[in-house]
Amino acid sequence: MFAAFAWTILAAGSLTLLLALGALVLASVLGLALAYGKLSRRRWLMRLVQGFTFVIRGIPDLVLMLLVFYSLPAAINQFLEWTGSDLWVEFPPFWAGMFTLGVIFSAYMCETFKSALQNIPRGQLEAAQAFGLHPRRIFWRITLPQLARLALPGFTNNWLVLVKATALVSLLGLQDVMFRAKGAAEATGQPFTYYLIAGGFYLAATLVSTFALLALARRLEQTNQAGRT
Amino acid sequence: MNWDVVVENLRLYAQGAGLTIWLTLLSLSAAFLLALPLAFLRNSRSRFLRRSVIAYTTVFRGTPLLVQLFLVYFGLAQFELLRGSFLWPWLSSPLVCALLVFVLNSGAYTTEIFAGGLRTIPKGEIEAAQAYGFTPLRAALRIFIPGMLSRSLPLYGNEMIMLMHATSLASTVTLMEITGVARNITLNYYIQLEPYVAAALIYLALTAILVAAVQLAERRFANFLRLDH
Amino acid sequence: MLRLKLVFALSLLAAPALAAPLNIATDATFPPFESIDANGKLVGYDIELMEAVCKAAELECNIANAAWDGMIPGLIDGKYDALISQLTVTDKRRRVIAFSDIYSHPTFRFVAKKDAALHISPEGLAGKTIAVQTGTPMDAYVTAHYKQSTIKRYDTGSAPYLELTGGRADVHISYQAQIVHSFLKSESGKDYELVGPELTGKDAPEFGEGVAIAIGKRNTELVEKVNAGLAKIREDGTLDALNQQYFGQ
Repeated sequence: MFAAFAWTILAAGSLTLLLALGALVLASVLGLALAYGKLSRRRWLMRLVQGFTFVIRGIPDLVLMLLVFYSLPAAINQFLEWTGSDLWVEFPPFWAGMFTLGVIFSAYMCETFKSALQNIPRGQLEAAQAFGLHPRRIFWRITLPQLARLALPGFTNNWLVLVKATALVSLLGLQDVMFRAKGAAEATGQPFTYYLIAGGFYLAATLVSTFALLALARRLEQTNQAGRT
Repeated sequence: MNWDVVVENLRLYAQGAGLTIWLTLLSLSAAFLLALPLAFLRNSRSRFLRRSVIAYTTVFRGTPLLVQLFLVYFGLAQFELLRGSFLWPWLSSPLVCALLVFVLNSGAYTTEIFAGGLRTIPKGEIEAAQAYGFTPLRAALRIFIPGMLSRSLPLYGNEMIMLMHATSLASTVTLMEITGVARNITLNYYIQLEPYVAAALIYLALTAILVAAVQLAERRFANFLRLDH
Repeated sequence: MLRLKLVFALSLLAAPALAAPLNIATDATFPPFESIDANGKLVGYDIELMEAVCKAAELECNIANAAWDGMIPGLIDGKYDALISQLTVTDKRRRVIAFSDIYSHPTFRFVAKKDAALHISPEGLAGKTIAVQTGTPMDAYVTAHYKQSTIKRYDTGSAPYLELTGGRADVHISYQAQIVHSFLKSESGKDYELVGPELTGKDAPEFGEGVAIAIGKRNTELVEKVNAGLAKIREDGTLDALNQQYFGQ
């Protein structure tokens, strides 16, 4: 009994990690775009992004998840119905959860990328432009490697927060680690045992990520220095 | 639209906001008092003390708040010994459990923020205190704590907002704060757009007030740091 | 009705899949009616009943777990096609959703510790703590009639039992079949017993008319199909066999 429940909880780790990784990709891409928007010389764009990040960061993750998971589809479908359209939008729970987390963390990634972009030495970009490099090449060869190095500490931190935030999807009925732990706790009447297992899973996930990303940071630092000499 | 439902229940929202504010302020003060000495121990010369604090902050920062809350609220009830003890009248209250978890959780983050602030105090200030023959207590009160707090202010302000948002999880252990009120309304009126939007707006307003307060404090207490650079 | 599967909100993928399976939601925190077993699989009386109905009515069904607080609104908004979760038919719910024919008539009971010696009445439970699942008929009943008691509400059907065994609640009220065939049978329920009168919709309107499958209000076609399926499994003995298997009656 114990082994079976413990195993189901840990097996749900794949869903938790998949959810977190998917959200991370979305948050990074969206976050980078938002960071460029925030640094844009176009005032309306900058204001728009600023408003977006303030709203996202001003509302608790749980409430945002309830909003995007429940209220947004309801609003879209009510609107579609009002327009007399026969369309009906459907959000499969796993994707909706991933999308929600991705959007929330894009606001945090935006801040991280923004300050990293600001700290890329101007001279390097100017030199590249002087060489007549194509803007796309400048992005891939100069901006992105520098951005990766400068944004890594903030990125690591966002990832750790994101992994832990995935536990909230259990409240939306998605069967992640936390949901299974809740099920096991309620079925056996041994909540401490099974929540401890869930806690152990998250701690292991955050510790492994921390060490892995630290090692990565060290490597990036080394290659960067090697390139300089 | 069903905004009349929100209007009908405005009193509940006001009570919920009251509980949110109360939970935030109480946890914030207790976490502050907990983190103050721990930040010094985190930088202590004794390896044992240092490692103990690191173990505490790692565990509480490495697991989701929801797990911690369920572990304490539902989990502790698993132990008959505890249920019979003099502690149970307190531990059986959802309010006490939620406060305990919020304080321990926020205390862990705050400890690391303050400890980081301590490490950035210039050597010269410490030497000056020694040269003046300050007692350790006087040095702490006049040099270390003010220096640490003013240097930690931006990050600590962020943590205050995070903690206020974290209190939204109290709804999962039967406490009717803002999120709890909104969830209860969706369950009784079968609508899920307006109640959550209303909750989000209240959080947004509270966050805006908190942000303004932190900025005011920064201007008042940490302005000299800008002149440093 | 045309259906869109929204994979990412960014890429509105128009896939008019008319033959898509029906989305049926259940709150799997209510054994033995619906729960998730140690292997992570949906099991229970309602699950088997729904599968039998779908088979009999030749419907393609996809039963999935959902959080209780999103279920009825999700049905109203068209997120789900139907709900099976021991939903009682009440006037309040009829106003917003439709129901199939009733497939069982539940009895509601209180459950408490064996030596608690509680008298089940609004006066007897004055000052005591009652645990219920939020938004259920039991919640509506105690909210209306037990005004002198503290009512603690939970978002799942199983959490109140943890509160009962944890000593945080004095009594819990739920479906008698759930209490008997899940909690009292378990190791943690051995010191507990049913208390108070057997309650049904005849005793209080909050308890409704009986249990049915909930369906979207405009989806009359599905109501008819599900009713046909229900009639079929009633005739061919599948329903009796299920009752026998789960409740020995």
